[in-house]
This record gives sequence, C-alpha cells and structure tokens, in this order.
Amino acid sequence: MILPERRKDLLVAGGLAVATFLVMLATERAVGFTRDESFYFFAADQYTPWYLGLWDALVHGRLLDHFSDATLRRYFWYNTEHPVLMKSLFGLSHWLLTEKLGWLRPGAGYRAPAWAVSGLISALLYLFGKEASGGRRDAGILAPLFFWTSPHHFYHGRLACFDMPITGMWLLVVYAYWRGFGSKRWAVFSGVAYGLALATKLNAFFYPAALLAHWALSRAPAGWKAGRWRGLLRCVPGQWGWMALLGPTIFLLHWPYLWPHPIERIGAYLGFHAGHVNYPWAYLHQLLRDPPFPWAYVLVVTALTVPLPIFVLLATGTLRAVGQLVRRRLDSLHVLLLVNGLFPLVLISWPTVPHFGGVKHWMPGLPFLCVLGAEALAGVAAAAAARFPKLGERKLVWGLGVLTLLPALIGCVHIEGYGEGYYNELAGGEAGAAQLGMQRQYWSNDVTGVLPWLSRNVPPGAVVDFHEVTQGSYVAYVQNGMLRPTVRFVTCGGPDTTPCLRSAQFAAYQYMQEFRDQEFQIWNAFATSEPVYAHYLDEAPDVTVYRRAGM
Amino acid sequence: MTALPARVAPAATAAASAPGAPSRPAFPLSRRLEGGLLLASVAAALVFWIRLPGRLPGEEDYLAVQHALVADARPGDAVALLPFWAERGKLFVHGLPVVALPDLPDEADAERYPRLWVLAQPDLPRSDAAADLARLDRRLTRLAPARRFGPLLLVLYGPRAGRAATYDFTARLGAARVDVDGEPCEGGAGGLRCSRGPWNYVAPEWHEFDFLPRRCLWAHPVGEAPLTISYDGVPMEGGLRGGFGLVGGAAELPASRGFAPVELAVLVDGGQAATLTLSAGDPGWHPFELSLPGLAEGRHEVAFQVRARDPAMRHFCFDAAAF
Repeated sequence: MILPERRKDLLVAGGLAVATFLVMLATERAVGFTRDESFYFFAADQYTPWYLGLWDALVHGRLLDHFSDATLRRYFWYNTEHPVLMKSLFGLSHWLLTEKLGWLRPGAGYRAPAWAVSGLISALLYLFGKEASGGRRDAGILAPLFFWTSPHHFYHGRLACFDMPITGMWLLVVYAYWRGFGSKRWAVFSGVAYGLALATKLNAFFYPAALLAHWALSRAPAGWKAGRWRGLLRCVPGQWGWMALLGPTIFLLHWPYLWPHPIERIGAYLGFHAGHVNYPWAYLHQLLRDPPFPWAYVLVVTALTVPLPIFVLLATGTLRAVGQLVRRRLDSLHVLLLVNGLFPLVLISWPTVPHFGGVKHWMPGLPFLCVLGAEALAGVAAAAAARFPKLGERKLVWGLGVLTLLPALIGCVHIEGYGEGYYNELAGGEAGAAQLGMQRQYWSNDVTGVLPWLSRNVPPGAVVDFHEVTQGSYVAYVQNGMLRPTVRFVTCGGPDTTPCLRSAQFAAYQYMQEFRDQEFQIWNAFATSEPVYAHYLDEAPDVTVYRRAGM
Repeated sequence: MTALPARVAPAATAAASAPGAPSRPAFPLSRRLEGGLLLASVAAALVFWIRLPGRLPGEEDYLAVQHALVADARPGDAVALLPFWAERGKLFVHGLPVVALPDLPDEADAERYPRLWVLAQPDLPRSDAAADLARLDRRLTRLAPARRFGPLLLVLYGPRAGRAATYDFTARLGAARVDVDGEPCEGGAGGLRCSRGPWNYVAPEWHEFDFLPRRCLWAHPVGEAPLTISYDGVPMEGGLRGGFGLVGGAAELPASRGFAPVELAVLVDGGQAATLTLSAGDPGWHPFELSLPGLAEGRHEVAFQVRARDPAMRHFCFDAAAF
C-alpha cells in the first residue's frame, strides 16, 4: 500500500511522539525529584480534588458554591506564581494513572503529562524539519534526535516542571502560526496554542516578539513596498488577531482562581516575577548574584552544554541562516525558525534578566536551532553527494547523522540521572566544568546518588540534614521506594545552620559554590571534615555525606 | 500540506546548472568548511569519550593509595589534593588532614606540615595539577620519587630548610591563655569562652573564604580593649605566617556605613612585632608572612591581640603558624 505523503508524515511524527514518551517513561526513574517538582506535586494534589468535585457539584446543584471565591481559594491557594495548566494535568494524571489504575509509580504519575509534551516536541520538530529542508524526511527525523540527545533536554523532558512544556507549547504556537499563513483553521489554532502557552509558563508573554520580528523581516518589506502603511496593515498576519483574542481568554479560563479578582490576581502573578530574586549562579569562577550579568553567558553556557558535534551543527546552521538573511536570500520559514531560535537566547542574554537556572530558561529556542542544525547536516551531505555521487546522499546523511549523535548518546548514558550537570567535550565534561568553575547542579535531585547508601547505613530514627532537598522531595523519595522511611528528615539552610545541625546525625551536602559555607558549618557541628560517603561525577564532588563524629 | 515558499536553491545545484560549469558539481567551500568542522568536532568528541575512562581513577587506584599511605605516612603528615576540587581522595585518607586549595604552591598550608603527600590527578580534563606540581617542586623538596596508581600520582614533599612550620597556633589553642582586657576566658582545646556574649569566644573553626575552607581561630573583637591569645614556649626561628579575614556577609560591610577595621597585633616576647589591619569591606582571606630577623634562638612568648574601634559585625578569624 502506498501511503500519501501527508499520511506518512503523520505516521512518522506520531511514531516519534510515542517513542519519545516511551523513552521518558522507561528512564524517568533515574532522575531524582527536583525542588520545584516537589512544589508542583503538592500544588497538583491541592487542585485535583476541585476538578474531581466538578461533576459532584453539578449533580448536586452546588456549582455556584464550587466556583465561589472561598472554594477556589481553598483549592488553588498554593503556588499562585505559576499558571495551573501543567500542575492540573500533573494532578489528574497522578490520580488516574497511579491512584485509580495503578499503572505508574507516584512520581511517574505526576510526570506523565510532561512526557506527552515531550512527544509533541518530537512530532513538531519532525514536521518542521522536513518542511524546512524542502521535504527531506531524514532531516526531519534528525531534528528531534539532535534535540533529545542533548542531556540537558533529556533531563528536563522527564520532569513534572514547566520548562520543557513551555518549550513544547511555544513550538506548537510557532508551528500553528506558520501553517496559519495558508489555513484559516491553523490560524485559529495558533490562538488556542498561544493560550495553552500562556497557561504553561510566563515565557509566553515575551515570545510573540519573535513573531513580530519574523513579520518585520519577512513580510513587512513587501507590504511596505506594495502600499506603505496600508500595505503594512494588509500583511499583518491574521494569526495575531486570534492569538490576541484566544490567548488571554484561554489563559483566564484555565485558571479558576483568577476569576473572582482577575486584575488583582494576574497582577500578583506578574508582580511575583517582576520582583523575583536572583539566585546565585556559578559561572567561570564568578558567583553571579546581581545584575548586570555577562552578555556572553548564554552563548558560553550553550557552547559548553550542548554535545559538541550538535553544537557545531546548530552554530553552522544558524550562521548560514543569518548570512542568508543579511543577503536577503532567506525564505519566510527560515526567518521564522531563526528568530524563534535566537530570541530566547537573546532575551536571557540581556544583562538585567535573571541568569539562574541555566539552559532551561533559553531552552525554548533550541528546537528551532535543531531544525537549522539538521538542515545544515543535510546540506553538507547533499553537497558532498553531488560532488561524489557514488557516496549516495541518503547514506551520507545517516552516516553523518549517526556520527554526530554518537558522542551525544555516550554523553547521555554517561551522565544519566544527573543531566542538569552535563558539560560537553569542549568543557571537558564534569571534571572540566569543575575546573572552569561552572554551576554543576542546582535542583537537589542529585541526592539520588547517595539515597541507597543512606537507606543502608543510617540507623533507624537518625536524622539527616538533606541540605537543598525539600520536605516534599523527601516524601516523594519515601513514597517511591527510593529511601527507607525510618531515615528522618531535616533541612538546614540559611546563613547559620548550626542550631539546626544540632538535631542531625548525618548531612547530605550538595556541592554548590553558593552553599560552601554550609558544608564547613557541617564540619564544625559534626566535629569532622571527613566524608563517610559521596557521589562524584567524573571525580567532581556532587553530593557528600557526613556523619557526626562519635556516632 | 500548505504550499510553502521554496528556500533558495542549494549552492551545489546552482553551480551545476551554471553555464560553463565543470561536469561534476562543485562542493562549495562553505559546505566543505561546515563538513570539515563537523567531522573535526565528531573526532574530538569521540577522542574525549574514548580517553575519559583512562583519565578517571577507579576505586582500586584509591585503595592502592590508601595502602601506600597506611604503610608510609607518619603522625603530623597531611594530604593535599590536586586539582583542589577532586575531593574523592578524602574518602581514602582517614585520619590525615586534607588540604584542598586551588593555589596550593602559594599557600601557607604547603609548609604547615613536616611532610605533605600530594595526591594529584594531572590527567583529568583541564586539570592544572601538572603545573601545580612543577610550582611545588620550586617551593618544596621532594622527599621520594612520585608514585603512580592508575591516573593518580602520589608525591611526597617536605618544606625547604628554615621554612617548616614549628608551631601551629590554631591547632595548639589548648596551650593558650585567652583574656579580654585582662579578664581570663575559660575552656580548653575546643575553645575558650569569654564573658561579653555568646559570640565572645576563641575556638578553632572552619569558615568559608572565597568559597574555600579555612581552619582559623574565631576571635571576635570586643572593642578597643584587646582580646589577647597568648602562647608560651613557642619554637620560632624565622617568623610567623598565616592569614585572616571576616566571616560571611560581615566581610562585605563597608567603612562608609560605619563598620570599623580590625587590628591584629602580634607580640613576641612582650614587644610588638607587627600590627596587621583588615579594612572594613575587604572580603576574602588575607595571607600574611612576618619575617623576624634577629630573633633570639630558643622558645618565645607569642601573643595575638585583636581589637576594633567598633566591634559590631566584626566576625574575625585568623590562622597563624611559626617557622
């Protein structure tokens, strides 16, 4: 049976999506529960009963009460600094897949919706990659492979957080936006997608600037030429209207907590981020605390955290596109990919924008750069095959593709479970990053490296200072069978941990420049600087366990 | 799929169709460069991953080092790690003090111990251990040939003549007398408590300076009246060396907001040998070395006096050794 091209594409895209989901499912256990996940697990547990109670309220005529301010506050009071789309999905997924069906362990139940978005990213990258490369299926398949074999992306793809979901949602917005130039339905859907993006994370407020840049670079010049201001107005994409209409509407509708006092509560949501603290962040032996932050930070960190061959392809693909843009030889689709690829990087490069969090904050640009990278590889293969026909273009594409992916795959396997600390071959891996004075962890999930030891060696009832691990993460580790329940929890933070440390017999210190004083406070409190166990990544200290002297 | 505007034709195709083009299409320079760069990066990356396992020590390597130290280390020895962050060795050198500082060849700790075992990993990616060993060779004396245990290198050093520490004031606090303006403080080796408040004590503690561990004597000044730490019978031939600083956020507080400098006076046999001043708003660890030429042979009385015009937030800590 010969399938039409469109059907084949949908099959490949769907296959990639399912494969991505399954890979996330199969490997998620290796990734510990991050600080933020613990907050979102708790939030999800608060929100879910409200959704589950909807039907009951309808049947029993208590719908008005269910939507009253008091009820909404009772269920949605927690974590109002982020929209609730993903948290609600995390909660409902956990309820269905873990509590009702028992198919997934508790942590995985929360995480599953994020994997679905990861699958969506693979599908959209394939479709974008194929289209951008003039219909090459191989380039389409390579684009998601380049994206996911970057260990940072693979790490974030498995978490019940918002960074990969916003990456997926913005990709969806841009894809729908692009298709919307030739289809009314897609134009309308771009508005829906934008609403979903707004409902996912704050980044979505900023990214339309990339669409404006696309219009200014690719469509506005022709409009201006055709009819000055009137011409410009005529070439304004209809998608903007749908995004302006449906985006805020869906954002408002998806978050019941906003409804009683929308202006006040949206103001509080945005205000939280306007005044967000700058967490300290290690970068080339500096501890970045306050702006202005270095301009080159994003570029340097990207160059050191994307596997080297993939980074080279991303860079050459991007530079080629920039060159063609300058020479006015870049088509509209590639302008769209280029501006959306670069905008998140440029945004975070701005010296006053907070730089903590590392690559996750400009990750939404990377899928677009991966499309350009896959196309760059296909371009090299095509040019080489044209010159040396015996080599065969397809063989060259896949040969180069496999060569490019091989070091990245080795890197993924090598750092599995601790992907937020991955540094590439240029950096010299984890050891090189330690020598360079870079941030190698930040979300406390690396504590998984010492949990088995703690479970085996901490006497029942003994208290462990888990340092950056939140109580919610500790509970999740116990619930998911990763830590013996009789290991008791305390977390000693702040400038003076001494009083808190008096209650602890063990400490699991997570190595971060900003917290080094706390490690030495443990030495003082425990009367020893000798670790009893530690987890290292290529000799670089990751999590160190201390035991009180005399125990 | 919607019909899309076609991207510009690939250069290879364009060249092939140009009039007078060679029979074989050109392989454009830009594509050749891209391809070359890609292959070079793949080769570099694969070489990195192939080499990496051989650059990382295994547990058996550390155990071999442990056996060597058990056999050959003496009381008073210490172990230094190169690079300073490669701390895994700490798990295998039980009982020996560990020095983990990035500029070891310039540190006073390099000469604090009669013998210093340097556990170096020169093969680690970006490691500066080989360069540091070369610098240590210039400052210290190698007491035995270097030994290799896989990628681990164990080198035994000792201070040059006249440079060895003869008395560690931080470690010997138990032998000291401490008083505040003549009023004695009570305690022992773990620390001596004085009467002005919970912060008014002298004790050896670990503190962070420039993200690094320093073991020093907490000696918060009480004001213009001196906090005095006195030692009798100190063997000293050349002088004193050590370092000092203000702990934590206190170090950042500037003089412009009224925070006072801290003075550390060093008295030898009752006479003032030097006064070291730490200005307000001057964070970090401040090393010092006082040469005392003409010092009489034998043992000496050494006292440290800490004072500040205004003691508020003067979380002072210092370390010193005689040589």
